[in-house]
Amino acid sequence: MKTRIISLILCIAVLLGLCSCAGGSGSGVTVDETLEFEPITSEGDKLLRYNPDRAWRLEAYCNISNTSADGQTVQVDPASNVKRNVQKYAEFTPQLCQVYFYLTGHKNEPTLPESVFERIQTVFDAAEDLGIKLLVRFAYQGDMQGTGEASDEIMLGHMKQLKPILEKNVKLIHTVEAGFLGSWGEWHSYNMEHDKEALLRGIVEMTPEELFVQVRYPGIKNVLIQTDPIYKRIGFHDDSFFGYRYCSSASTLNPGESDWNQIIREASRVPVGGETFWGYEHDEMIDGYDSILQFSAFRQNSFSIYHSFIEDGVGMGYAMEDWQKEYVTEGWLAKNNIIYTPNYFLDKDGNKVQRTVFEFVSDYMGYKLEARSADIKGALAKSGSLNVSLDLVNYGFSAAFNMYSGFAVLDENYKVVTTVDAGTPSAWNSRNARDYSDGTLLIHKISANVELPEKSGKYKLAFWVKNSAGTGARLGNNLDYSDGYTVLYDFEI
Amino acid sequence: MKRIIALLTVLILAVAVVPAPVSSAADDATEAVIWEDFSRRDPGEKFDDSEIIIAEKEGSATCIETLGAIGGVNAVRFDYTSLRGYHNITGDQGFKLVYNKPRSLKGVSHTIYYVRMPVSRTDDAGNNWQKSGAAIMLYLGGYNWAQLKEGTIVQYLPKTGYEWKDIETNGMYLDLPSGFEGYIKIPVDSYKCGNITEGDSIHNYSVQQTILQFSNMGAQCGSAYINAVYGVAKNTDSIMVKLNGEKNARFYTTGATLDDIKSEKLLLDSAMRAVVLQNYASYPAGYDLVANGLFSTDHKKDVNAKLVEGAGGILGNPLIEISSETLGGFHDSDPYYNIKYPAFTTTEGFQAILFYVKCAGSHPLQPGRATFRFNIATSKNDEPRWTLLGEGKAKYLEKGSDRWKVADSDVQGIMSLPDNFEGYIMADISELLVSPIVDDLENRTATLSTIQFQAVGGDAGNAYVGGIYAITDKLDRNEMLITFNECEVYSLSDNEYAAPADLSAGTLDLDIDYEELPAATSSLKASVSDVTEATAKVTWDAFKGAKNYRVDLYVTQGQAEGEAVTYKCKQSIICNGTELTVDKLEGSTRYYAVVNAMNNSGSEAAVYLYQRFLTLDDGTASPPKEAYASTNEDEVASSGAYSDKPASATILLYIIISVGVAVVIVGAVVAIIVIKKKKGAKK
Repeated sequence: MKTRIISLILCIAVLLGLCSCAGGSGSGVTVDETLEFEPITSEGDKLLRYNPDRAWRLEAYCNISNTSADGQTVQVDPASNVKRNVQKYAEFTPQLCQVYFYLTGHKNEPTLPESVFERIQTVFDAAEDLGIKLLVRFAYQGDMQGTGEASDEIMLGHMKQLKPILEKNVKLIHTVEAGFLGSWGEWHSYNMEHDKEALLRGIVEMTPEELFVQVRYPGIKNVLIQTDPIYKRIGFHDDSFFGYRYCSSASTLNPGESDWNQIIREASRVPVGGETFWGYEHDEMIDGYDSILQFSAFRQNSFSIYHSFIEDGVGMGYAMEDWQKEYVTEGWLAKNNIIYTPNYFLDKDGNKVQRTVFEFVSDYMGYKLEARSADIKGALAKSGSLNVSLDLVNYGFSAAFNMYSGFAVLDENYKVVTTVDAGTPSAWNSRNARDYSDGTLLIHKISANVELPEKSGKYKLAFWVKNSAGTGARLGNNLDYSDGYTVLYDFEI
Repeated sequence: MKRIIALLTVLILAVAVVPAPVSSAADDATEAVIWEDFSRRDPGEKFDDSEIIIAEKEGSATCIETLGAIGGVNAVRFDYTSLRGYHNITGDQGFKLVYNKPRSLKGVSHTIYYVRMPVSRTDDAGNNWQKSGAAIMLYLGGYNWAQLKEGTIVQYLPKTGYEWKDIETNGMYLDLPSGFEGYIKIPVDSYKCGNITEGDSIHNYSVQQTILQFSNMGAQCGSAYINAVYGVAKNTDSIMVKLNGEKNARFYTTGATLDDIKSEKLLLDSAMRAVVLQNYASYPAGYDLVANGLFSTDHKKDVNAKLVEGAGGILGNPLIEISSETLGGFHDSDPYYNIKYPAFTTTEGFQAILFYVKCAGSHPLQPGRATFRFNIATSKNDEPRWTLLGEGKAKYLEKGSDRWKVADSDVQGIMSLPDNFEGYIMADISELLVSPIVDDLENRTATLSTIQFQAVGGDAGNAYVGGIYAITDKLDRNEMLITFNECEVYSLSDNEYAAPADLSAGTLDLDIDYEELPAATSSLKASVSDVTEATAKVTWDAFKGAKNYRVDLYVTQGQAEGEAVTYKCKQSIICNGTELTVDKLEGSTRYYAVVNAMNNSGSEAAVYLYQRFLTLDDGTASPPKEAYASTNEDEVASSGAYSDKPASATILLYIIISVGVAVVIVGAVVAIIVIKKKKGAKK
């Protein structure tokens, strides 16, 4: 009899324990709901273009040494270029700007003066004010003759000195480009002997750990073996972009060639950026459709809007202006294995709309997230918790690099009450990460237990996506949104 | 320059009409050997009695160039000066074709002949037999003559045909369409020979001669021709044949193999479609049109109109020679020449009128120029209408030229042409502005055309008019090529059958992959507009001195992971003018149009910058498939490594499993304690 009593007590205890695990503390209304979310139609894309750490990037020259020697231009305000270009291109809502920090004036100085850091900080401060992130590149040479070139010793020394200011401004940096060496920091057209591996390691070491370094072409990265721990931190910026076509000017970065295929293989894990030529150089060669094909194959995260567009004024007829007049169609996208959302070609009334190549690139470069549905289970009770599982798709070319995500409970004024990290945005590829040819759209399931507030009241369950600077990203849904938080569910406890 | 080629679109028609698909047609091809190709003589030479035995001295057998029969090296023309034939003259006016060696009938199921028959015309007694009859007999040696049994089904394939047709013998005779040209296939077993007894077989014999007799020939009925003779080892209904053990079957009608289809099809696709209103093709030289009511004149009495050969026009069909003793033209008697159409043709679908003329010399009152006027007379609901050019525009193509030019026309529709003009005149129906019919073509029939010259007769000499045609599909892409039967294509600039070379001279090879698009060599502009899912309009600036233009349409190849990109030319079109509507495009496809200005030697004088365009969707697009990302997909960490941290879903799974394991362990411990206590109690 005593044994039976003990067994009964134990069973009750176990059951109670399980109930406690599943339902949280206290009593309340049990919720077990599946929510379906409506995607945006064509009218909604403009707002998504403000999402951070993606798509168009500007370019700005920053003469950190403020010297006029070696072909440099004196610049009283090192951030003047950044400010002017952000203003000029405002209607295209670029969220990124590549900055060339020219250290030319210090090419022979082992120790950088304090003024260098002050001027760099000026640029970061301007970026913060403008609400953009920077793609940072340091360089010495401003031409292809080696003018302003620095030795390895000098460059490696400068890298160590620059590390702290990058750490300090990490939230304002999108990526660090492996500059320093060669013309405009592109690792070519230099005169001295250089230890490329040492330089690359120095740059990665200089770069805050949470950031990626980008190199001009795979050969730079390939001085490392793939198992090297820093290998996986190195992405690409293709600054000789011609689109998905053969071009004899494109060095080895042509379809079917080894560098090309390497970028395709690795692009699911590292960010890819780049730029094409100036409009007056090779304008006729930059075909928008070929470009979409390359952007998709390279899972392009960012691209320069500062080349072959309106850099010499509107109406010059440069390539990307043509993109604004050429239309992309569902049939062509489907035929070419490009992922897209059918709603993109509809208006809110269900009518077909035309979309230009330029719009498509603006909207699909980087990430383009959309919530599909969510399962919410649990008891709506004080200090309880909800089990949330969200189905999310990313129609964008690339995964969401430099982004973070999770669930939160907001009060009626959209203030965060509780929050929990969930999801790995840098893994949210739109398609198979290992096989680009597999065009199946991936649905990512993001789950978490969300703690509920201790006080009763009206609340909102939200999914949040933000970058390191705290700038939020909208989802492609017709859902209530505030500062990175997309409201999935209103409830009361 | 070109040999006669009849067009392979026979194939297309065959596919549409004949149940068997093309590949099947090729697979099921007839197998035959050539018995006679007339290669033993050169064109112009006469055959002697050891080769062709002619029944009467008046007759002759002359070697001529091939008519186009496959395997026929040369052909034979059988002539009589006077009207002959078993319908007209009693007796044997035939020809015996002596083979250079006996042709065994062992294993031979059929014999095939390529012939061109004389035309059946009214004889001196007023009879017109309507058909071209023939008797084809076999001499098997000794006293063995074989002739066809009555009621035998014989097949014939017109040279432009796409299927064998059946004809039943009338006695031993075959009654073929008047002027028939093409193949006749006769089953060997349908021959009878009195000396071949029961138990014997005609297949045990060899053919030493074929005897050919015709129902009408000579004089107004013209000559008979034979181009080749074949013995069939394996007979099928296919319009393709494998000759002399060839591996690839060839079309009887063209000699082309399936591999030739691409260029042949391109040729046909590039040709204007037209119907013949009048071309005198089956009329003999000297035929008096006035006497036969096919030609009349107003305002002038002494006009003669007879047919003459070889002066120009499509295939050198006969021309009407208009002559008169006295000069007549716009400046004096202003004569009209009325040319009747032999059949009333509906005008529905007419887009343009085309005809061939050769002007007489200029009028003394207006030397150094030629003027010309024409109309088309039509009828609807018995109401006649004469439609003229007025101030509309017409084009002319001078003989020997390959470029159309625009002729000025006054309000009366009188066109100004170069002095002594000879060549084609073409006018869009929409340009016929006086009494227009362009919007009223339905239920209307074309009856005749009236023409006028600045001068005819007297010192100005004779004027000539060739065929008159109605163009039903002008295409605007190549106004040098024309087809009347969706089968053969003629070149207006050469006045011959067109060959693929006519079109491909200077066009790109469609089978080559190009690494890059051609670089522009000109800053002249080109553009693309009016793009649909299957068509697009390409326009460009004129290049001074260009003979014509070539528009090449490329698409990209490759563009899958790891594949190099190349360009393939899908269409290469020669055209005149500065615009072209390209068709047969694929929907949702990126095209690159490259315009090339061509010079007289057929090479690119200028290459325009390529114009890219995307055809509209054809409605077949479907959005991408979807699937849940695998755990591994979600574990690709931001730094590029696979994360050590499991996803949230996995964490939940771990918790549940852990709780389960804990319950089991606790249960087991409790059970052990209870059992031990029980044992202890027993002790």
